[in-house]
Amino acid sequence: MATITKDVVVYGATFPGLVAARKAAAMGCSVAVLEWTGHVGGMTTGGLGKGDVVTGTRWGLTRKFFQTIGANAPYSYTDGTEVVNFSSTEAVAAMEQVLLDSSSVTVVTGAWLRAVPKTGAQIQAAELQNGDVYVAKVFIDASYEGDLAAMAGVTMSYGRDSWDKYRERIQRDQASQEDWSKPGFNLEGADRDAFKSVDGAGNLYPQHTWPPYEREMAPSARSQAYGWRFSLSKRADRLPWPKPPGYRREDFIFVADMVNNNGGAGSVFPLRLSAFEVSNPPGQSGSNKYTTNGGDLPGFYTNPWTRASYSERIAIQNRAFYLAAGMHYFAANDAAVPATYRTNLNAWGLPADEFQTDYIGAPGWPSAFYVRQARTMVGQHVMTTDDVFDDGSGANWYKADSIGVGGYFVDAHPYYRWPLPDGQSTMEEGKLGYTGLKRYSVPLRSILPHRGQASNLLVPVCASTSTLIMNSLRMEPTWGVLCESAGTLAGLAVGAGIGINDVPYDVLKARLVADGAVLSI
Amino acid sequence: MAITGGFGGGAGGGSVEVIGNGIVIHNEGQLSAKPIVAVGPASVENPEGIGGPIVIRAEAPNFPLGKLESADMGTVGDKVIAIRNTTLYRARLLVLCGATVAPDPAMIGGFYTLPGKNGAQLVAPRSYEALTTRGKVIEIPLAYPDTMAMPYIYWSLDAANPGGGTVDIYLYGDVLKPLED
Repeated sequence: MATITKDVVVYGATFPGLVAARKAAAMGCSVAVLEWTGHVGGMTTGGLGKGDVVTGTRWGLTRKFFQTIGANAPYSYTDGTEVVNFSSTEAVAAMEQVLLDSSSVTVVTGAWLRAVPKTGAQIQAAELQNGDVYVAKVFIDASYEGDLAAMAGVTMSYGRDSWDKYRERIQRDQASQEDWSKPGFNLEGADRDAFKSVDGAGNLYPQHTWPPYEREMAPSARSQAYGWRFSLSKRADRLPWPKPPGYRREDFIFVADMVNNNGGAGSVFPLRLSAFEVSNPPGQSGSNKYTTNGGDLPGFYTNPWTRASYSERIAIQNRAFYLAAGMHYFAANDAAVPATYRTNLNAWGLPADEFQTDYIGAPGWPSAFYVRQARTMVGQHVMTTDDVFDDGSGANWYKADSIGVGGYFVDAHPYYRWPLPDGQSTMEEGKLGYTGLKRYSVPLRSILPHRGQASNLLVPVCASTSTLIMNSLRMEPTWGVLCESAGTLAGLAVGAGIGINDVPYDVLKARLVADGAVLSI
Repeated sequence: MAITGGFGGGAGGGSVEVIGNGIVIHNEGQLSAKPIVAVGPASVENPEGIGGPIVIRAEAPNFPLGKLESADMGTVGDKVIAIRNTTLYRARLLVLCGATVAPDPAMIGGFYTLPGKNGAQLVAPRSYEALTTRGKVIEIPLAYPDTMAMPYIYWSLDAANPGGGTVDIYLYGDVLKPLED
């Protein structure tokens, strides 16, 4: 039990959280980074593999991070080229070089919050469950869950907004009209897929969801699917698909049914992953190292997460490991699965050179569970589709207090994946892939809580947006630049001995511009 | 433990001794305490919490799991009963009632866990002519031995009722996991 005093406390050793911390340190602050998991770097070092970048929007430490990956082997660029698709080891190396190279930053893992006491609206400290107390002038919540902000009494939303909540304007200017979806439950935009969700007796596959009972455009306490992003290997030294502890064959008989009845939808992988080769030197291929997309686990493995305790989250994560590892182990080894399928799956395995000391469940398994979207703040300005609506003038795409630019396509993974009564097909609801979105600036007000709720807190990850906007904003590089601005503001406030709300935007802007920030579209 | 003021409605009252571990309700400045009551199918054990925890449970059997009202008796094929209150359950009883016409003995159908008479057969094909009026009820106890995670069950008619009509179907059983997601 100790009291530690710092200038800045960052909650969340995510990639953007580390950017915020490193920036604040660069401006002369002492910084403690409190991370509730045992993993540092969030999804960027936890299996993400793809940078999900927006052209022309990266600057500062975020850009330097991707440039450093590019400068390192096997790419060895000398011209500042950014590499945005990478292996986890490449991301870890760049993180250590760019973000963990300051003695002014202390990272504490396993930091479970107990309380966030305030005097008035001023947060005094972050108290941990082990009794340690971190006192600071400025707090930055850069976690995926927004726990510190919620614990501090900041109004936070979670789940899926209804249309009624913000009355967002819906833009449909693509040929595939469903791409820019309505807020809330949206049966109109759901896809019917030709694969099964029930086994031979009619029981629901455990990675799928119960049929929904929601009204169209209604809110819910559900999030877009969390899941796993794997690093995979086809190299000779690849690790076999691990057998999870406590494995019971009867828990995975359904996988044979899936594989034999098109439930795998033709994929090599029972979780229907898509694999992309990474780690190739420029102009080459054949690294046999891959990153993946897919692996979604909507419903039970997603919806309880945000409001769960830390130990409950670990339990959810462990169940998600048991399910996914067991499915792959069964599919790779059990005689009930056709030999051809097993052979194809066993051509792949987990990497022998990634996630060997930092992993969940088994060596080679990713070190982070992909929490795509949890809380969002209701702050000084809530970004909605009105802020990005294309009225032809572009006027509402720019904010006078911009701290960064987003613009990744509106990307939501399914909220539901449920069986249709025909027993043969599946509905997926909640997926969005609207690519018509232009780049937009993010206002400072959208990372600031209302002053009366928390006057020395910045929330750049669980920022103040609608669900639809967070579907776009939630990309690690975008959060990275917002966090660099947050770290800059914290540094300016601490340096001047004033509150973050009292730093004139022009002063912040001048510093951001001097640091090469991209603030306009 | 002592609670002062407000308890029992009197302002400025003396300290009140609280015994047991029952529920104390804070309602805008007023504290009150009273035993928990429950209405079936819920029941409560040790409602005052004295000497042990309060236990609330749903009485089994006959907890509603799903229903299909106005199931068409005039066509063959599958009638889908959606399970709404649970993701893991034991099915114990089917109830059919509310027939709008008396079904002919020739109307034959069974209950299954997949469409097209596939999956498990919960009820073998049978007739339903006992549904002579709207008020008549047929109860079919189920003996399916396993827990069920089936989002739907199916009433599949081999032969339709020549006179058409509809009937209401209710499924009851034990909720092992409530519908949360």
